[in-house]
Amino acid sequence: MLLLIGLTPICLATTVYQTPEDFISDVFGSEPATSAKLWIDKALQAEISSILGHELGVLRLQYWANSGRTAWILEEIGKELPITGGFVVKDRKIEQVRVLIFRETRGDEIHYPFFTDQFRGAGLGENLNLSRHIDGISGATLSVNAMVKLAKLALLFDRHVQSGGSQ
Amino acid sequence: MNLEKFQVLHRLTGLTVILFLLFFATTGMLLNHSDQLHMDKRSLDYNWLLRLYSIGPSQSPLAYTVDDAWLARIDDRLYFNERELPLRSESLLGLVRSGGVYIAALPDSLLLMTGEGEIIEKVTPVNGLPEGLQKLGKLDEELFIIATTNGFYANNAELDGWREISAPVTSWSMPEQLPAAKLRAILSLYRGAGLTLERVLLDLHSGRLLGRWKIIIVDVVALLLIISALSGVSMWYKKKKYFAGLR
Repeated sequence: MLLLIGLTPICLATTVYQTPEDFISDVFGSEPATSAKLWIDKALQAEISSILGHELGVLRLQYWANSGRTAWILEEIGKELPITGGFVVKDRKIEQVRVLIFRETRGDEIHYPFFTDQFRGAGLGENLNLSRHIDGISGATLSVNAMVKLAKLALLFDRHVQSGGSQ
Repeated sequence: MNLEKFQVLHRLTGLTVILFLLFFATTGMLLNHSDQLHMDKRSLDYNWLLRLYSIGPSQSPLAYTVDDAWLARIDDRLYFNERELPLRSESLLGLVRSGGVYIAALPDSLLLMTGEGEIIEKVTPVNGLPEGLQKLGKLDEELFIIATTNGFYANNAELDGWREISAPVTSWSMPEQLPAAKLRAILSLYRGAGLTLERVLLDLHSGRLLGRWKIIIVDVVALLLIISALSGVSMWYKKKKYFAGLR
């Protein structure tokens, strides 16, 4: 499934590592993904707030799904501008993480595989924490934090959808 | 100068300075705990204060209405009725109601909203919105329509799919004049959000609110403080000498 949280317009300082459309195509290949909506109820909003430190700001999210795999495109602000990340979840564990659009002036090291590959196999543990430690990057702490939050969100949404929270 | 004169000088300067010290200490302590007191979230809405800060919109509000609901933009802030939306936009293209959902058009996205102004969904080109949005209108009870640089597209509030159509006969959403009461309420929201208690306290503490008088007043207070300190030391020294002479 692919989840889209209102993406900000791409400006001049923006680096697009991969467009969300290409990410979807990469994830699902020739098999078409099913599009659906995830409604954010109060219980889910509370869990989102405890991860992000703020509410999501929308009541409904679009996503796509295929063969038990879920893919999400999520955004969170690093320091001042949103970072757009693509997340694939399978069997309630992260299968793939990719930084799609980076808008900040510092911290773009998070797009390298040495960072994103750390998420592979991570699940959502107790207290909505990742089941494995993610090493930070000097000078990119806020960007790293944003990606960790988004990975938790992807796992949370996947769990919610798998347990029947989608529509 | 004898001891009595020093005592008078010390008392006068001390009493004057203590007022300022109390003020700086109080505002300083409050600022130290501004996070815990949520002072950055408390907005002030006093007209005289807002005028002092020259806070107000830089351009006239732009507003659209449908079924008694108003969507307005003041500078880059958006208001649905009397609720500020949690996003910014430099432009606003229209508002329609379709399938019980309010739909607002921004240059890069559509916002689907409830009647209370909660954002149901933000639709962008990434999730299928045709690029180059220019206008928003209503085709019938269920379908709304957008005009883009590449043509006209219709959809419903469930976003079941964009359907390209040719030269539609439709009423496009057009800007309208905000009623006076609505304008007042929205301006109050706009101004209130623009000036926080923390900002005012910080400016009071630093003296920035006093403008060019700040330097003179701070200089005078500093001078009084120096005089008070020196007169205190002198009194202590004179008393020490006096008591030494008695032994």
